[in-house]
Amino acid sequence: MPSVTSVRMWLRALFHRDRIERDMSKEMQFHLERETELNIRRGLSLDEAQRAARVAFGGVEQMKDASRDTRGTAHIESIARDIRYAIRSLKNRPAFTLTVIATLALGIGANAAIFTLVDALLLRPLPVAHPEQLVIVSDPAQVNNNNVGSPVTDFVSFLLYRDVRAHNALFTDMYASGGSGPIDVKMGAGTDATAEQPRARFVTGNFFSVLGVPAYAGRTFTAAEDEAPGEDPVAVLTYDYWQRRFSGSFAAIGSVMRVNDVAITIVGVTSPGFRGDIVGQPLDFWLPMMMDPVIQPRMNLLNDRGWSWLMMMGRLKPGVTLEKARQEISAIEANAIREHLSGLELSQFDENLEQTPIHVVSGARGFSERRAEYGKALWVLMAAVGLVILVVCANVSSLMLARTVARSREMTVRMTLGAGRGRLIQQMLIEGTVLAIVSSVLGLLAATWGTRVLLANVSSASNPIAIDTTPDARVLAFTATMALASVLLFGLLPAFRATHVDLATSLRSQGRNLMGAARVGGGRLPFGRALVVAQIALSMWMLIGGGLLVRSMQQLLHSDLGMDRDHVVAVRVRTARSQYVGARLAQFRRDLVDRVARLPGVDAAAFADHGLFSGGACGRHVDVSGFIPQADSERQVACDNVGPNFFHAIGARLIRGRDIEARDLETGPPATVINETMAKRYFAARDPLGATVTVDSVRYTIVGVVRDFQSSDVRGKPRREMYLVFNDPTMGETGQAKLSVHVRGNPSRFVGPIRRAIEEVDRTLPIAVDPVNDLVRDTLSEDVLLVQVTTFFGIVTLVLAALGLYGVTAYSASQRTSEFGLRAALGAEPGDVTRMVLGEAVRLAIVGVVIGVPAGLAATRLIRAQLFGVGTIDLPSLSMAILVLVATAVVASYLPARRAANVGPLEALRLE
Amino acid sequence: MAASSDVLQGTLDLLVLKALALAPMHGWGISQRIQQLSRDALRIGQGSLYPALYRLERKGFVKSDWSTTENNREAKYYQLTAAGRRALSSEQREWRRFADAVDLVLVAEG
Repeated sequence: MPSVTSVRMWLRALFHRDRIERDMSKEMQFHLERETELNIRRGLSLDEAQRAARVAFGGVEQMKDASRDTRGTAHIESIARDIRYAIRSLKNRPAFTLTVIATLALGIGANAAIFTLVDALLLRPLPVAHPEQLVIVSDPAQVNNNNVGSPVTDFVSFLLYRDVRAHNALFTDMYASGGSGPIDVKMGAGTDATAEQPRARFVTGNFFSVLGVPAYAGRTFTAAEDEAPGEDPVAVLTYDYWQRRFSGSFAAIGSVMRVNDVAITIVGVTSPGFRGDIVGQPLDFWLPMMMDPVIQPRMNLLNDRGWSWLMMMGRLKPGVTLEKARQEISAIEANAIREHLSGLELSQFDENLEQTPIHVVSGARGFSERRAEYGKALWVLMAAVGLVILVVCANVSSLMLARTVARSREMTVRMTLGAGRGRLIQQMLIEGTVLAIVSSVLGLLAATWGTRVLLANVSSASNPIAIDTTPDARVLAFTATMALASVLLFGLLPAFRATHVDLATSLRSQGRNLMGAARVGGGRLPFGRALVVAQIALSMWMLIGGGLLVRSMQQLLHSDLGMDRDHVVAVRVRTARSQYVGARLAQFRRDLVDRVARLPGVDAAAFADHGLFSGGACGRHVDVSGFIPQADSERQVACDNVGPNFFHAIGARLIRGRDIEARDLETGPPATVINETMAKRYFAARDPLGATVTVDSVRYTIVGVVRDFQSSDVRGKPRREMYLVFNDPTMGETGQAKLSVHVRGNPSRFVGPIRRAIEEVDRTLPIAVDPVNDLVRDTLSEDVLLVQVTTFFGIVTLVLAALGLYGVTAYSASQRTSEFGLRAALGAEPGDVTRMVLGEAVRLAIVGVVIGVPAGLAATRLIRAQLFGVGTIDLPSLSMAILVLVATAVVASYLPARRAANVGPLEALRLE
Repeated sequence: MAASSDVLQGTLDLLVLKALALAPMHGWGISQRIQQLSRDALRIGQGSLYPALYRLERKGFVKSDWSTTENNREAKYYQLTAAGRRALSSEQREWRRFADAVDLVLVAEG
């Protein structure tokens, strides 16, 4: 029960320590003097009187300690003293301090940076009310064949959403949202109004109320606003778009923007933290679902069960578990699909359902395709930076150890004088903590910068990534934990080691240097050596993993894709909502090809609906003459519509028959070229040329077989593909005219000329021109990220290991100066000493390698999924890694070895 | 004399409080006063006197101030607070009860 007085006393004791200490000394002094006077009066001499007084008093210092204890601040005082002492002694050794802080900041910063990404993309819940109640029905991140439409994702149609919503009883409500196709927005009324292409999503009117997202300014949608098609031309903006486009002006709310030439009133803005229900994907504004038929006419997205384009999210009623929802909702959805199927389709649906059930998963973290795309890579990076911090700790640990060994005399003396081991350890830990705190702050700053750089590196215009990278409480907590763990790692070990002093031996051996160093803190630093070996083993790990990723990257970037990737330029011209429709569009495509083909240096140009690496794909069910399918899946073929000379223009190789030609556009039976895989599957030994493939009751005649080539994904396995003649202008799906242009020489040089040629045909349309290899690289952005970051950290760990090795070699060489001198005196050549020191360092490196290689090889299995074209044991990269490490060891220990060799006998003796 | 330094912990506080109840005093004076009042039977080990003084000060039973002695020397004087006076009387009662109890036991034994 501390009284006010005692608290005041305690605070006074804490903050006026110096004055209190002075008072106390003065008081003791007074007491001693009075005692002495008394003794003199009793007849003792001055000397005897003083001695007797001191004896009567007892130890002054013990007395003071006992008095300090009664003040109850002894412990805090000792910590405060240690902090001051630590800061002072760190200031006195700027080189040491800066090195430690820089490496620690790097390690902690790297971890914080990667964790920021992991957190934002993989862990963080949506910033909405009670995210744990949200449930995703039909997960677009999964593959599902149950829904009509794209075979590779799990979207649903608007009508299916209506059915599920009407029948479910477990959700308080559910909403649907779907991406818009390309749209353009004009601000202002004048003819010079700027057009831009923002990203918008169509959402049902209850989107914001189900998620529980309030408006930051203005209002969000009301359920009544999404009742009738085309009735409510309103939009809600994201905060970012509002800031970017309207400079955060409140006047923007209530103003009108023209979306695909439809006047839309901006009614509100959402809070800064909310970026939509899709994590990692940038978004500009939301439109009511019912506005879709007006804004995207000709698509009929709301009334066609064949259009699966929506994601569904529901909010569980209180008390309902996800498991219960999984059973009931998937049954409801399955029944709703069944109702509109019959005969063969129905039995196939039931068959498919057995294999891939309807996905009903937690929606707490929102939708994300990026999560699947980058998830594994991020965990690999997290492991990599985990290794980095271990190496950093080992390094700092040996630096601290070297320092404490240098201070061993001080330690020994203090312990002889009775300082407790605990006090010394406390002091060293506090020094570590001061270092860790400073480094963490710097590390966090570096991390914020680092994540932006990382994101900028993997983001591209066609594949942008938007995630929140401002460090939040979780990132701060993570960083603090990191810092604490490192203090324990690098502070505790040397502290125990350094205070583990055999007093007698160490006092005796102080200053005795000939033929053997002082044995304090473990003689020639065996502990330091163990740390170096650990660092080298960890670097080995890193180098093995990094080497594999680099090799795989080379394969990805340069592997043979079956077409001439280095000489093709891809052109996309957006024709949606332009004057080009029907026959005019067909003519436009031909005009573009003709114009571009006339450019000097261009071998061939051809148009196609999807073309190469455009991100689009389509699949069809086909009937092949003479082939009887056993299952429906055997009828599935990927397809594209292509114009004349397509295979020539992409540099693919025709194995049999001919390319699509100009005459195929005009008359005669529609032609198609199939790939090798399709030919093997359907024709085996038969001759495919002249056979027919029926798609949507149009019969195509096979005129050629092309060698398999990758058109959308470097890693993809070859699949059945066919290329139908693009003779029906209404067939295109993409709203873009796409050309592939084969050029002689560096494709980048053709980007400008091709763009100008197209502008000669029509300068009003948006044009994109890219070398195909750039598009390929875009699909590999996560591999590029992985390789760049692991390479960087691989170099960092290598440099740290080299520093560690240098430190230990230099230290042990300096400890043996007199030994070397003696050897020199006895006739050793400088070369002998150099070899001896170098040999020792290389032995350490080899021990590290021997430990690191098996561990590294075992770990590579974790990154198998990221690899392409290399096995998990890749001899070239493995031997390269070993070579690099041993070479680094030699370089790092060469200087200390040279120095050791130059020690003369006199110099060594002078040290004694 | 031998027993003097082992004054029971609680007793030391009581003796210090009692000595200060007579007049404000410095530390050395307190030890002299106790020795004198006990006719040299109790000699306070100074090693325990000052911790006791600081302890009492922390409890708010005494307060201290620097002032000048009769010989013109700076010394730290301690004096009882109101709380200290209350503590002294209750401690005194406690001690009587304790001493009487011990006495009773000793009488019965004799």
